[in-house]
Amino acid sequence: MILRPSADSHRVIGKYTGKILVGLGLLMLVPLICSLVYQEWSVALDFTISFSLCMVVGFGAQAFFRTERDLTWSEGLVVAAGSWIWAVLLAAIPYYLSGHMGSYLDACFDAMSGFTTTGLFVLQDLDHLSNGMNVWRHVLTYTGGQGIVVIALTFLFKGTAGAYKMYVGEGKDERLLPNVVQTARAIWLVSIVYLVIGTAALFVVNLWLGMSPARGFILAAQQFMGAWSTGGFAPMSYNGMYYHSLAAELIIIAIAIAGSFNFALHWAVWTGKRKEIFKNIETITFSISLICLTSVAMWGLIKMGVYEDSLSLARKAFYIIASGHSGTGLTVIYNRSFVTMWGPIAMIATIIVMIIGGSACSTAGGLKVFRVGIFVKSILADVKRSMLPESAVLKVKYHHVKDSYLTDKLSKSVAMIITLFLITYLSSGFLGVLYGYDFTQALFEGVSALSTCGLSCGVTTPAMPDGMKVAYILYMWLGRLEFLSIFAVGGYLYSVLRGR
Amino acid sequence: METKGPFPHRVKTANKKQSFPSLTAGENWGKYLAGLATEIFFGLGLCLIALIIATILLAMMR
Repeated sequence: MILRPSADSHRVIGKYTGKILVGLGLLMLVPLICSLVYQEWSVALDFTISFSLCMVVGFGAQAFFRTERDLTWSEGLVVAAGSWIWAVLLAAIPYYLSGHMGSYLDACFDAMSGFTTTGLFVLQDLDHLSNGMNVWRHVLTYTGGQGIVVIALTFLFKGTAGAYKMYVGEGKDERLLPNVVQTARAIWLVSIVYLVIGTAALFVVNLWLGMSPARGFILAAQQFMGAWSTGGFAPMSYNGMYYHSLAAELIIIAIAIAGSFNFALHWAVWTGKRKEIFKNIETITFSISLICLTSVAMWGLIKMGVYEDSLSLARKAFYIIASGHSGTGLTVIYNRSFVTMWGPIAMIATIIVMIIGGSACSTAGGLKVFRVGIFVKSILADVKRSMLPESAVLKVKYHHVKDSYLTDKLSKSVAMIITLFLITYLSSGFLGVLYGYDFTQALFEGVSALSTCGLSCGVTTPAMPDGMKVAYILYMWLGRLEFLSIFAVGGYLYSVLRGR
Repeated sequence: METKGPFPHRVKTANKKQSFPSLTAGENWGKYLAGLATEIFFGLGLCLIALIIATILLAMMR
């Protein structure tokens, strides 16, 4: 028998969601201040309206849903997944008011793309977007990478048992420190140190490229946020091609690769265990698949005769494949070049790396290299087991921060998640075909949305059918939070409607 | 009358070590920056491997 959630359950969900929306409102102060600095008065007004709405909804929810009870597991998951929907609806308001969006749905598309660090966008006339609005796009993607709940945990919570349940609901399940609030703060510490150093490095490159200090700085900050959060938003429509700089590309791709690492790995390396990076199952799987699939893409590109010399070949192929693998989605080629120049081999290699994705408990999406590594180890173990005597016991070890043994339970859960993802990836290809797109192109774009990557072969445009926009919004949400939280929301809604 | 639980002092110390200010304590910054440099050089190392592979593949296929 399914039990209908109690009134107290609604109250606790409402209260915590309200807290998270207050956090979102506070985030809007960043672009608001930026637009005031750049004297963009109408943009500042847009953000004032949006900030006020967040505060009214956030504090209103906390005042209306008063309770002292802490969250249960299912409620924590519902808060995490549900607050992303509320946050997108509110974060889309300044987008919509900017006049650069065709509709409110388009604004929600870009807001979801930002929060989930995807990087696909349907915003029009990007090159003439205000500084305030461009900063908002990048702040969304930077904070979305860490997680909306992580932000709220860092600044707005004193620490409750329910905090961990929301943290898990947001697709992160590893504690860097014993306390979940301090784990959230450690995640922010890593991100902010990277922000300062990465922005400074890109600022120097921008100055060297001849930009004024003000423009060089704001572009550097945006470039960094797009790369570190594996977000893929770029301040200019030419994306990485705008800079024509090998130095900028190297810094950006190194930041993007680091951004796709597990925060638990960052913390281990940062606290002295530097060898961890060479023996962790995630970095090993990532490196092997990155090098192998870059080689495949290069082979395809050489066959197509696209690039003449090894530097151009390595520069383009590695940048795109690493960008796809880390889930960043920054690019140094035109979107349609995937179809018109790169050819099927390089395009399929790009699809595969987007499917594999980055590390668990990171800003990246996709299946996650941890699962792929465990999946491969499980297959190899089964092959080995079949060759051993029946009485033999085979223990398979893997290393992720500490040594662990592969269990049947872990192998099964990994296989289940991989199956669910692969079915959803295929569905995205068929959905595109239903709307009249070529299957490979639709699959490329759908995989990019579901893996929260952001590389595009030209399917995502403002003219894309609304049905596909809604589907991609759901794919991005699903890809970022993974299935657990979404199932929890589905279960919650079902129990509200059908429970007794 | 003694009302404290077991090992009160140790628990208090452990909590203190995990608190936010200790994350940013001065003695940790050297380790943090060395860790950051390790990660960046790891990424740049992968770039270098890609360049070597591109050179070899181009030489082989032409």
